[in-house]
Parts: sequence; structure tokens; C-alpha cells
Amino acid sequence: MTQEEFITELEDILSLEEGELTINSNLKELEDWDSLAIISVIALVDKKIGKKVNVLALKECVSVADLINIVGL
Amino acid sequence: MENVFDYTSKETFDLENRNLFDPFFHFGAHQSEISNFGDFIQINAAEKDIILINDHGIIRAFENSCPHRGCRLIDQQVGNVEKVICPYHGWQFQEGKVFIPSLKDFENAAIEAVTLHYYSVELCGNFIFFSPNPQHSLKEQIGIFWDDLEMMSYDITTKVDTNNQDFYANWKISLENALESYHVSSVHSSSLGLLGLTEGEVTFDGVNSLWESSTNNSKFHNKLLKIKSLFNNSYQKESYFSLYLFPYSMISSTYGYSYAFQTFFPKISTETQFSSRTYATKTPYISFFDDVIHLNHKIFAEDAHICQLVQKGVTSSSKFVYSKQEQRIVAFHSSYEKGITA
Repeated sequence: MTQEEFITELEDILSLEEGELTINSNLKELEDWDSLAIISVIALVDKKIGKKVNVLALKECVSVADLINIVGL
Repeated sequence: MENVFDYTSKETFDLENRNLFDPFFHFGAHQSEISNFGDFIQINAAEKDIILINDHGIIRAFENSCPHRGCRLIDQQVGNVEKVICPYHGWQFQEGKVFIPSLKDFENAAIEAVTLHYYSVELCGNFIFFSPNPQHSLKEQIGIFWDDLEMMSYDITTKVDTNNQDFYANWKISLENALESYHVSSVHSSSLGLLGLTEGEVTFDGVNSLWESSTNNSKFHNKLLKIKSLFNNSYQKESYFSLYLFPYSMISSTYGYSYAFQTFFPKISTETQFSSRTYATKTPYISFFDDVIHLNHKIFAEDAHICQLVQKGVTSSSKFVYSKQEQRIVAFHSSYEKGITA
């Protein structure tokens, strides 16, 4: 999975239009970045990348770039 | 004064224990909680301590009191014991039998008749129910909701939280609070209220009732639908629902992702022994349940607070009125009156 594909998936999770999210977007400013979104990201990374990510680590992410860093893309 | 509006007297409390606690089945636990030989949990209800134990694969329920001199047998809420041994004189209880040290010294006592005070145990799927002296089978008691409850029990994998706390309110006040949604927007504005629950639909069957409510928060609804694929559950509803099982038990869930099985047992006439057991369902993403537990604790703390205020405010001359959203309370009163005078 590329970074662009990941961001597209993230847009879907967060109910955003395509192109609305960038690598610099601040997660804390997004209304829908909540526990349900986090669990969806965990599942996405597990299923599509085969990597287990920690929920606490995701909660500490500030930007999309932080997420991408944790996911390892 | 009618018993149903009596929130303080010991006489009504005792009458309720005789006519509602004794003849009905009550929720105890999920089988996964006592899946190994010797696993037990203790339940405190209606002035009694009850042990549910896995005795070589058979689930037994008995009062936590030695028939010899009344000593408490097990002093923990949860654990595992190979044998139940009274700490006072060493009486042992296993597989429904009693082993008595120095048995010959009891030659003048009716020792053959001495046994633990066992309760009836019946299962609905993997849910364990107990009753001191049941007047109906569990299946008859649960009625049309049997299949739903059974399916819910099969989706559950493990208990993730137990929330035991005393509500400083008569059990009927605590239960009636749980039976209506009218208070949600004012009492739970920053917790359950965020779901934007609609008035919903109530299905009655005898003394039991099921309330199903969709959310008018479409964003929240869409989010909940999106995580559906993360669960491998058989029983899924696109609603918040709560199933009330007369007299003391209620199971609630949002979309069937987790379950909170609550009991509102009388503790004393002015206090409820509240317990909520939160169960996870079939998903590998167990961190999901951390937020569920956190939310449930917040909701039940809010309920405890408002119920305490009601207890402080009610008077014996109170004449209450009920809205459509409180119709389950009216039905409860009817069931209660039939039960209490039986």
C-alpha cells in the first residue's frame, strides 16, 4: 500500500471527500478522528499491510504524517 | 400505599425478596467466566451471597454459607477453588456431596439431611441464570426473546469489565431509570445522549420487553456500520437495544458489538446492588472495548447520581405521571403488582 492509497482509505474512514486529506492534515482538528476511526485504522493496517499497531500509539498521533510513520509506509 | 411506590420500607423489601427474587430466574454470568473446573463468581443479591461455580463441568449455584454453623465459605468475588472447604471446621463440598470431618461425632444430629442451599441453574445459550425456587422454566420466563438472547450469548467471547456499585436508591428507582429513555438527553448529554437515540419501538412479551432505537446521528450510524466487518457476529442489529428480563435483569448493546448485562438487585430497602458485566464479541480488535468500558462507566455513574437524587426526593404521597417514552415503567408496575401478590 502506498502513502496515497493509505490516505484515500483514511478519507473513507473519516467520511471525507477525496483529496480533502493531506499528509500534513492535523488529526486533532478532524471531528471524526475518534475511537471508532482509530479501531478502523487498526483493522485497515492489519488487513491490508499485515502489521499490528498499538491503539495508544495511534491516539498520540497528531498528523497524518505521524500515522504514516507508525504504519511504516 | 401500593408496594410499587414504596421505596423505603423493610416490609415491602422482604415481600419483594420472597415474591420476586425467590420464584424468578436471574442473570448470573456468561459461561466463559467460569469455563474451567473450580472457577467461581460470587453474586450479592437480596441479602444473600450466591456462588456460581464450575463443578466438574456442571454449573452449580448455592448460598455462600456453610450448613453446619453458617460460616461464609468463599470470601472472594471471583477465583478458582479445587474444593469448596469451610474455613471454620473443614467441611468440604464437591459434586453435590458433603464431606464432614469427624462425622461419627454427629450421631445425634440429622446429618444426612444437611446440604448446601442449592439454587436452580438454567442456561440460555451461554448465559447462566439462577433461581432459589423457580415457578417456571427459564425458557417460559424469557418467552419470545429466547432465540435472540441465545444468539447474543454465542457471539460473546469474554467478559472485559465488571462494574459493581451501590446505587443509593431503592432497586425500583434504579430499574425504572434504566427502563426509560426520556432522561437520556438531560442526564447523559455527554455520554449516551451523543448517540442521538430516537423514541424507538418497544416489543412487550409478558413481563419482559425489548426497546430498539435507531440513532438520528447519521455520521455516528455510518461509523458504526463501517466497523461491522471487523466483527464476526451472528446477531447484529443496526440499533441500540435493551432487553429487560423481569424482575432485575437487563441486557443492552449498540449494534451488537458489545453487551452490558446489568442487574438491579435489592440490597436494602433504600439501596440497589447494581452490577454491569461488559462482554466482548467476536473481533480481534479488542482495544475497541476500552472505550466501550469507559463510556459505560460514565453512563452508570450518571445513573447512580440521578437515582440517588430521586430517592432523596420521592415521598410516599408522590403521584407520578408517565410519558410514552416511559411506557416500560407502566408495564413493569403491572408485572410487579401481579408478582408481588402471587
